Amino acid sequence: MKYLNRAIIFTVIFFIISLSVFAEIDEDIESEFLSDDKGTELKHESSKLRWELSGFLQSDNHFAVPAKVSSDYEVIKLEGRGRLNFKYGTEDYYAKSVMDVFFYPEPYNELNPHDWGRIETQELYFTGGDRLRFKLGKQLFSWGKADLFSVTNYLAQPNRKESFATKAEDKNMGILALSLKYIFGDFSVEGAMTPLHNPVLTPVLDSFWSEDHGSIQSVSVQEVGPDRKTPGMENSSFSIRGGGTIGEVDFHLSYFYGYDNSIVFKPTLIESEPAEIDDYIEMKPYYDRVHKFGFDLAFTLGKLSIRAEGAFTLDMAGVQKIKGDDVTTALVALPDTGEQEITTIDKVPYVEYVIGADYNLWGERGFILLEWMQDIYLKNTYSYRDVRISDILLIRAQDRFLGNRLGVQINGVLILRGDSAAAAPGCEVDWDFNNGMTMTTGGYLFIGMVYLKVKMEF
Amino acid sequence: MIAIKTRQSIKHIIQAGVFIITVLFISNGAFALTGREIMAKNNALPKAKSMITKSKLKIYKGSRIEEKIFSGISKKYGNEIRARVTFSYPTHIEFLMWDVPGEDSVQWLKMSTGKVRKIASSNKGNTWVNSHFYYEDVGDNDIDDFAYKYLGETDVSDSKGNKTSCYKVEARKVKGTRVYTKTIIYLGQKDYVIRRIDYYEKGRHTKSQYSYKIQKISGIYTPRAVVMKRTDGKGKSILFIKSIKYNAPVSDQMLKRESF
Repeated sequence: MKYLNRAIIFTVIFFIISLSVFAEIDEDIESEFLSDDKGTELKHESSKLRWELSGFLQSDNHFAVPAKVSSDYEVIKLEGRGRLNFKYGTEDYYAKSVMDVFFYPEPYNELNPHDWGRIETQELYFTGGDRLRFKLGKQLFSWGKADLFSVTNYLAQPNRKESFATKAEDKNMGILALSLKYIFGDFSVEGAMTPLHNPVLTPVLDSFWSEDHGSIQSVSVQEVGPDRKTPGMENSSFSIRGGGTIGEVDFHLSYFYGYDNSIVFKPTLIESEPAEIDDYIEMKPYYDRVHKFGFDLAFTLGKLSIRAEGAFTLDMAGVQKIKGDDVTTALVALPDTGEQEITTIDKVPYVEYVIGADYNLWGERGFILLEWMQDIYLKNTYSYRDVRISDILLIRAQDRFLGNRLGVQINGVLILRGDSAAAAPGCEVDWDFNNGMTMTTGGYLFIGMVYLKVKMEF
Repeated sequence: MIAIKTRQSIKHIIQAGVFIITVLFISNGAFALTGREIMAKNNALPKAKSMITKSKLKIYKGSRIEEKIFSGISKKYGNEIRARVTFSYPTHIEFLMWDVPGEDSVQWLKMSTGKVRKIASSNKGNTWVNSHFYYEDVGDNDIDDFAYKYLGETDVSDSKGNKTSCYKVEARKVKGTRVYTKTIIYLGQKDYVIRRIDYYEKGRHTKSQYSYKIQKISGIYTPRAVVMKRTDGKGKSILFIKSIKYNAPVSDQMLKRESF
């Protein structure tokens, strides 16, 4: 009886406390939102000058997981970063800048050498207009519909300095360009021109991220940096894109003429000393001007979103695959010091395409995403070196829990080529503090890398 | 004599009966509005063709409070409503939505890279930005999608305890995706403005929506705060309209996917 009385008293007290909390919250509503001094008329003037400031601070840290458990982690990168987005003007005419400041407390490590820091301008442009809009300056192009492997974002400058460590939002860099867009109904035509060659940003040579070219015929293969093209109309690129929305389908057709933003490596046999052991094959990025025709489309069917892109290149540079005999022949023909071409470069019709889909499995954030990318030379298909990692399938499953605070993402990359296959799993977990701050950790087991990132948006 | 008196009595009885029946008939609301008619009066209230708003959304879940700040513009094109919503806190995300009542809406999300991603229209029964509102609650509905039943009259209190006499109407969806078994709508008797909605899922009363501080702005009744409360006490969300401008000149370009 004593315990029953206590239980009743406790329940009543708990009930009273609950009511008082609820009543307190209702008082909060009244004071915060509904007092008479809170006006509601909005003075909206599209011609009013205003500025917007936003950005983030981020600590991004990557570590190489050792092969042996007893070893310590090796630091790939410790990076501090600040981004500032600034916009000033009216709704119709404004200037925008996006700037990044990077800081590396451990710049001189063998795996990934950096300077102490750098400042990068991602975007700096002036834009304006109504139906006819112009944009002049350093700008980021985001053409195409695919999530990861876009083949119609011709004017973007791909950033492959740190491949798997680079998030989607950093995979392309802004370029200096003039773009014009005319909107009519739910359609538009856009044209853009860049006066400079904007080659793919490649990893620092011999760093953690650099490409391993292996060796051929016991001759080492070394990658060297690209030759930069000088600014000028002869190195400009042009592109035009038109399309819009019809019913459920977004579609665009596009054309590009200029330097392709793929990387093709041109191999050259080099001998600097008479002795054969010093021979090596130099792999240098090779760029050429191409004509490309492309399309991209996206549509949804209930919970399913489908995206596709395709591009046809009339005259893609095809580098013949190097065989052992080619190297032997070249070695024989090699002068005491000098270079010898090992293979030829042809201009070949080429197709690349991406198909992607994502499906909302459950709730609001439970998704599975698939994206398949392939590229094919249409003549002598298997005679040429691969332009990019191709025949690749990305699988991603993601969801959010605990009131959307905890995010979990599991990735798998499958490379399916001919008789061979390779798998690259990865996963990521993030915690959203609901105040602009997120903490993310994850890793890619196949390259032995883990990372920890903290980001604060403002 | 007795026969005459009897005839007069019968006549009085009949007159009294007719009078009583008439009073009962009137008091039972024979000339009162039906559920459909009440909702039609609500539907006929002045509506904006376009609007620009700034809002704050406060979500209470247990001891956690989540706050979101966003601005939006919207415009009607016949039956279709196009809206662009920009969240500025805690993160910067932008949505573009084309919505036709009774059909799946078309939605795009603008990412930080500037890339525009078409997204599958959310299940109407999914929560809207992690709040207690569903997509069904924040979207527009066609009056013809529902069957209505008049339930009577009652008083509804506002946040200060002031009571408003309301009609009570039950609505059941007969066309399109059905998220709720039924809803019970409370409309002011004088102005036909919705004061409260009770939502029933799988036959159970799961949440209620309250409209507080209703003001007439540019001739349009506007609640300053809309509160969605769970009946199990597990939380609520408050959508507060900080400022609003109706029928403002909204550029069509702002609501096109090609300029998003």
